[in-house]
Amino acid sequence: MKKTWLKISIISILGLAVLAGCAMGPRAESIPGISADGDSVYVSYRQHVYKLNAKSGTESWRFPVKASTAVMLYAPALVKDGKVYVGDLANTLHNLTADNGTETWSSLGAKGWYQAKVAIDGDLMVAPNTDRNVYGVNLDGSLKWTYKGNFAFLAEPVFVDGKVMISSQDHELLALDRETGEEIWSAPFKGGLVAAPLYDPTSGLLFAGSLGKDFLAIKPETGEVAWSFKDASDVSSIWSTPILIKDQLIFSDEAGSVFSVNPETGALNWRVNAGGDMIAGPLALEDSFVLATEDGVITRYDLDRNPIWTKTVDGQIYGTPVLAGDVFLVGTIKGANILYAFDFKGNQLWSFMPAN
Amino acid sequence: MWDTLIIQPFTNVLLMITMVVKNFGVAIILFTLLIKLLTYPLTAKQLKASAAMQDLQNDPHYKKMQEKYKNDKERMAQEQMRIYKEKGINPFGSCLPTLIQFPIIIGLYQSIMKAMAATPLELSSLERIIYPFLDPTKILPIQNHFLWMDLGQPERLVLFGFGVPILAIVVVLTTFLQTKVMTPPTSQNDQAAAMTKSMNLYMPVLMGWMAYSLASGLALYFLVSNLATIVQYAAMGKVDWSGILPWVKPAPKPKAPVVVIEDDDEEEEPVVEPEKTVKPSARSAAKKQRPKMKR
Repeated sequence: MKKTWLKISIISILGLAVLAGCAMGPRAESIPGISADGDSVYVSYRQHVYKLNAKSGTESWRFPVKASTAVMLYAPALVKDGKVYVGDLANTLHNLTADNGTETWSSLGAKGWYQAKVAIDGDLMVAPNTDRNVYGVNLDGSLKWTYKGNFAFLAEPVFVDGKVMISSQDHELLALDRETGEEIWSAPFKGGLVAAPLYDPTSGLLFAGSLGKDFLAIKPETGEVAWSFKDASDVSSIWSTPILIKDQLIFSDEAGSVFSVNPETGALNWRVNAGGDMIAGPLALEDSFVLATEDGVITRYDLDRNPIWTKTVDGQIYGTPVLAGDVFLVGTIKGANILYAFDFKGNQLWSFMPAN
Repeated sequence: MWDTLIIQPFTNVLLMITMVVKNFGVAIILFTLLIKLLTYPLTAKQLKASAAMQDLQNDPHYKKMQEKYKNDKERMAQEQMRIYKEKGINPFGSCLPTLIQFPIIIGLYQSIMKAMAATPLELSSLERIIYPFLDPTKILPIQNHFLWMDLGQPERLVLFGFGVPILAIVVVLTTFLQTKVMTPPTSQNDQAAAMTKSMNLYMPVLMGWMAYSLASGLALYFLVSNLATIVQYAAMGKVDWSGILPWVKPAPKPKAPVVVIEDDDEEEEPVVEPEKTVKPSARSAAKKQRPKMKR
């Protein structure tokens, strides 16, 4: 009997140790958070933010210098006036000096994770958090206001005419007062919104899609629906932000379908299928756009949806490619590298895998 | 394979419960209880086998056999197997149900982790394993707020300005309680007993640490699982309350079956009589009345 209990205890301990080993520290699997500023690229991945040279891929600095299992970073960094703003999964916002990566201040107010890129307008930074709050933060790190929602906020905010537009998983797009954080209006969708909306100053409309398979144009003044996309009945979940190129509004869905519509009316111009599942959104590239499917296939299309070139990388792509000058970047997971840089002709310039 | 057979069905059941009760915390509680209920036959079998094994190991004659053949491992193993066979004891009877339950427990743990998708990547992964007859837009996102907890974050209840890990403390206490009531009394000088005792201390600490540092949805699962296990054992009358309540007297030990060992020197044949009680002083008298059994 004693031996039996001993065996059970040992099995239990081993099992729990396995489970514990898998899950200690902030529990999350996510994709590299990529952003760019001039000739610099910032990558948030696991325990560091890396600053890289966009031309060569060489590492300038990493933050924090010494890795800690308690800190994980996946949110793309925002660079503004020589400062880097990035949140981590240990509920902290960091303010770093862009030149050397030294920390100027950190803010510990949140209870959840920062997964989205923060947005700055003037002296206000807006930081969405998974603790169901959106924080309005002064640029010295002090809290200005808090908006309390019902679900985790995962998308970057957008400033439009004194309002903060933020996608909510609570099946709505919200407009908050920039000064107070109070809700001005909410526009209902059929599913949760996990990507930032796009604002088009020309048409004066906001565009966003949801996991409920709908794609709407919203009037930023009132939150009214200007039009909803109805020209295709087989749209699947929309996980990414649309793009605008030369009067074409282009958005993609999870099944790999890409739609070009008229931004004024929502009428369909054309559709094309990228050939694979696609969480990543399209990237506008001069008079063309780039699509990246989950299986690592990157294709550049012209505005008539004709493929220009196709490349394949080792790894899975879940993040929208990012433009950095005359280079664009693709983040991957489960591959040999976490980042690939291409020129517009599709030549791979460099790849990056953090050295220990 | 693992995902299709274990994780996907578990996660979908968990999501269906969430759809019905509209609360992920309550869904975790109900789902854990459901799994406990489904694995109850295995738990009962395990307990029965454990009890039979314990009875046998408490038998002085069995101990004598072990002592006699302590230098002849092969012979001792033969004797043990013979006794197991004659008494209908499966030596793995208590371990096998545990091993069968283990994938279920891991599956339960992983499905709770899966359902608490916190990043877009995890959300996408969750959305893709939802069965076609369920509408993801009606399920996602999952409301992670339960009582004072965000089930996706480690739990802290702010009291007087301090974040107190109430759930982790309760998990430590219930794990300790569970190990105490489940572990039968053992001889204190035995090395194995000492190890078991130390494990019983490490387990609550380990579980407490996990409840402290992991998402509170998992800590909630640990708590409900502990309580359900204690209730299951109590319902089966297997709880040794004397282990935790000093004023409760230990239950009288069950009368162990007589095990008669084979003794080559005395040319005595092995006999097992499950119905007889252990009365060492009466053993010789009993032996005279027993029929001899050929090996």
